[in-house]
Amino acid sequence: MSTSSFIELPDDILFTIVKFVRVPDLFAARKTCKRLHSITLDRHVWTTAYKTSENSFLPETSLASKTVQDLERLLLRSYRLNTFWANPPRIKRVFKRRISLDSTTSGIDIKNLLAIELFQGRFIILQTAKAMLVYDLETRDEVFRHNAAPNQEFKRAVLGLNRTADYNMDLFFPFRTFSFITGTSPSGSVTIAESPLLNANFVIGNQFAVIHNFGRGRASDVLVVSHLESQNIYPLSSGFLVSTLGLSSF
Amino acid sequence: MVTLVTSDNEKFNAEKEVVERSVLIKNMLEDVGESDQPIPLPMFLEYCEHHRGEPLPAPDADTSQDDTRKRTTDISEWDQKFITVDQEMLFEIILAANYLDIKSLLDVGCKTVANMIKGKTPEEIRKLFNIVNDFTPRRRCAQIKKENEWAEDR
Repeated sequence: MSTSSFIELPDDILFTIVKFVRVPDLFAARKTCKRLHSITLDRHVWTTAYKTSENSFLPETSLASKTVQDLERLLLRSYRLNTFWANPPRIKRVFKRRISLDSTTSGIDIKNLLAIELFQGRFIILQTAKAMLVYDLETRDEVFRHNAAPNQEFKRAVLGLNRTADYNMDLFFPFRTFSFITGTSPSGSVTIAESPLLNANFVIGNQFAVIHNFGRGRASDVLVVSHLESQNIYPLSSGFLVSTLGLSSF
Repeated sequence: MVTLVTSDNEKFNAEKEVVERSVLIKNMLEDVGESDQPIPLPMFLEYCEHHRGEPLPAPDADTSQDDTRKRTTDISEWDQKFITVDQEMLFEIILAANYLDIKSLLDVGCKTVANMIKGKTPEEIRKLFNIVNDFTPRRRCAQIKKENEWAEDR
């Protein structure tokens, strides 16, 4: 009997094998040798991976219009989000922390704040008509900031609140604008007013992903911002909805 | 009863119903064809014996089913034990399952290989399967990096 080795397996078998290989492992396999490199670049591998994926962060999209790289990107991103989602890091709460902000150092007009919100006892969001920034009270660092364009003024962004029904405003994050609508039904649950997308996930400035998981078999309606590098997840609030425009264009 | 003879002239008797899990053998029995392909016949028979009575996949279900079938690497306990063999034997089983056209066994084998590379780095995969890194340095640096740029953690 001849000795069999992995690399002697015919292509059709290698294609059957990669069907069962997890997304991150496909990337590792790609770097091993030329043969696996070309196999893992095959479009069919990725369309199959997309169709068979049970990842709830994977946006429903038309595969025909997507390049192989688009598909890889979507699959990898949703894989990571799902990993973070399943094992969210515990956020350390910070009590009693004083930060001083003045208009010169923070670069925003502190006296005319439109909104100030505290999330998880740790992240403070400040917003003026011209800028929005998030401070981490633990590290005292700015987590992110977005400045309005010269001719642009932000409306008040209300994050994760159910104070009154029917907010319909724009919420600005770096490089992304999306409008959201929240509403409170008598039962306390939230209804989707428009663009009933089942889930949203996209990356802001390659740093943060905004995701929410209503529908798709999950119990709660939660929006989180995930910092991809540190893998931190910052839940914004429950009962909050985002409907996004241009979800499929990353 | 059907008598199967391996390439080293060992004879095995098996019931027709059992060996017909293999589409190839089924066709061969119909055509009385012949094959000189060596196959790990005892293991093949053990597998088919265990799974006898389970429904066979419909003849032309494979392509359409492939795409919608759940992407799971779960392997049943019995299959798991069955497939716990050395690498060489594993690939023999995969090749035989492919050749004999036993889809369920082929899947079990391929899932096992997929599980073997789970979480491994490219270097670890090369070591595991004796793969020679045949990328030229320039190609490695430029093209691969470009292709995987966005996939790296950032």
